[in-house]
Amino acid sequence: MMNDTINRPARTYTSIVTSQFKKNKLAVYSLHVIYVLLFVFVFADFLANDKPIVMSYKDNLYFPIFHEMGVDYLGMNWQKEFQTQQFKLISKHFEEGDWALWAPVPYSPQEYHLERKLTPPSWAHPFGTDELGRDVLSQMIHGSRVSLLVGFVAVSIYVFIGVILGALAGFYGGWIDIVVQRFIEVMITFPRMFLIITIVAVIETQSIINIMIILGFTGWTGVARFTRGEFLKVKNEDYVHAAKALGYSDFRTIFRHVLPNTLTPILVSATFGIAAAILIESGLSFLGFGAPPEQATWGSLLSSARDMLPSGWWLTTFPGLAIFITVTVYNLVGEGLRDALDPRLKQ
Amino acid sequence: MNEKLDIKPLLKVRELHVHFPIFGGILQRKVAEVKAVDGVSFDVFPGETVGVVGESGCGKSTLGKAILNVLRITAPDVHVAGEISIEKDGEYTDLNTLSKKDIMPFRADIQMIFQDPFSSLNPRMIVQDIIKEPLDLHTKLTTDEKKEKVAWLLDKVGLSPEQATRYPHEFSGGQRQRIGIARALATNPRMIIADEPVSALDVSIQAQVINLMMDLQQEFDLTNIFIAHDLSVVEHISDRIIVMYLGSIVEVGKSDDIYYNPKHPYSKALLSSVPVPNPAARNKTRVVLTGDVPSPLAKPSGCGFRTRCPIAKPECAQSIPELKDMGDGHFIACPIVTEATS
Repeated sequence: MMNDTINRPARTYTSIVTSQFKKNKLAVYSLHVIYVLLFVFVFADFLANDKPIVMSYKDNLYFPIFHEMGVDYLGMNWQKEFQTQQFKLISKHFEEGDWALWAPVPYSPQEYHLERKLTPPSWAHPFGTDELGRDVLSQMIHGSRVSLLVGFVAVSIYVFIGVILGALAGFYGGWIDIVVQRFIEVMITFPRMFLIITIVAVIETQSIINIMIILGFTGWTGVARFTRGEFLKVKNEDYVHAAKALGYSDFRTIFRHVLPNTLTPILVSATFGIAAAILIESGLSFLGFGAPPEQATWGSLLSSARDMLPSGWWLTTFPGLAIFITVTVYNLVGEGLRDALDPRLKQ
Repeated sequence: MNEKLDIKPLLKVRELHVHFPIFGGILQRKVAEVKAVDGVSFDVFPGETVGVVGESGCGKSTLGKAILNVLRITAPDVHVAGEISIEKDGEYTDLNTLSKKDIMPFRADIQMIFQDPFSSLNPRMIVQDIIKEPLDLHTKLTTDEKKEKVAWLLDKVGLSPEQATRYPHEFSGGQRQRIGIARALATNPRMIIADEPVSALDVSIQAQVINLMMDLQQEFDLTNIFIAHDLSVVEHISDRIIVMYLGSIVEVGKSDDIYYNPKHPYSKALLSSVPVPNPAARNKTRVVLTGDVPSPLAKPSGCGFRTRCPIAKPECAQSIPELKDMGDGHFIACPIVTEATS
């Protein structure tokens, strides 16, 4: 037994979890889909844009997409010849030696071509165009940013709130526990969707940041309850007693000894929470309470396509599929994580 | 309480009461309390091992935790009264009156070895960090010195320094208990409270761990309080034994006196329950108790043991018996036995 342990290479907790996770093929594929989504999220500007990535014009090399970022965020100005930003027009007057490398989807989400409105999927527009002739794929690529950002930010906010409140309630008990528990109960009495809609209606200014914060501040109850329950269980383990007998501070005991042993269900519920937040944002946008009208999100795409059914089937099918796939892969990864993080780690 | 009156005790416990409140009703009012430890007094002298025995629920673990002073943190509602004084540089300090901050220097002096080696080590920390953490708080060693000390401690408890980067789940029960011992030793304690340290282990491993504890006691000049329900183990390791029943001490004495010549009817019953391997040598006069331990919520009046005592008399219900000296450091709390012998 003893020799056995000495000769076996040390396995860290992470490596055990990784190998357990890899046994679940579906979860691994889902994780890859999430990687693709993250890639789209980060590089949306380069995947769908009406400006070229690289352009050679009159013997000069230009990077219009980078330049656009500079204009948007760093206060730079457009060069004189590009003031109009009509690169597609400019490209029509290309002379010998001029060339441009376009984004894979050479349309911006706002760019409309009324002469091409409501065209079904084609090579030029793989997911078709909407009633103003805007490219659906381009809108979806940029909309993914909102959807995914809402998921991450909202969940981060509510995991933070939930863990802190749950940890305090579970660790200290007594009146803190009673106050937190009653607060949770009051929160869950409100149907979440109606609570969100009410707050959105009161706030008036529609912005995606507001949606994230509202989702964050309404969603923490589940995490708080999980954390509280886990804390109640773990704080009576002997290693926590040992920590107290050694005189460690409450802060150290909570964050170094108790919290790491309670993270499993929190992590899993956070993964499911991302899926839920994406769904709620889509729902809100569908109802018109979500992102402002000029911002394309998967939910608002669905919403505006509602009137075009059944003839404009591509307008609802593709954004709907995107929501469905995203929510599904997050749930599958959450399930894979839950199994892999099982405390009874099978070797 | 002991014949070694010239030696100052390291630990003095006087009239220790630990009461757990029971809350009930909508308003969570206190409706009753469990007197887990009910007026316990004893001394522990430097260098000795005191065994504490008694059946489940008699308050022995609570006694250990009360001495360790963790109850008020782990169970804030609990009521701990009495004196728990530890000697330091010739002076006694009552730990029970110290604030959370003032008790810090004494935390290093008393350390605990836990019963369940599977729950006493943080599963998300490697062994090295588990042993190093007390050093962070209680010593001012440099990182290298700490590393050295961890390796040295691991060596002392019979583990190899290469195992320092492992997680607890990679060890067997006995090895985990050794890690727990190394952690307890890290602060250079003067007193170790071992709460049933071997009851979760295989018999073969039990002997190893007990011998290790005895060796370390010699080497580090430790004073041990050994809480157990296995009498043969306690007899082997202890100098003196305290027998507890329902939160009170019923008999105190030298290990051999208690083991071979118990006086209190409860100790007699407890000892006759120890299995004897040789069938021919089995004690013919086994004392078998009937009934269960009364609930600590509703203790019998007078002597707590009278409901199950084979020699109980009506006057046992009158008053709580006090410990009476039977000579040679042997005390029992049973007026009927004391009267019969005198």
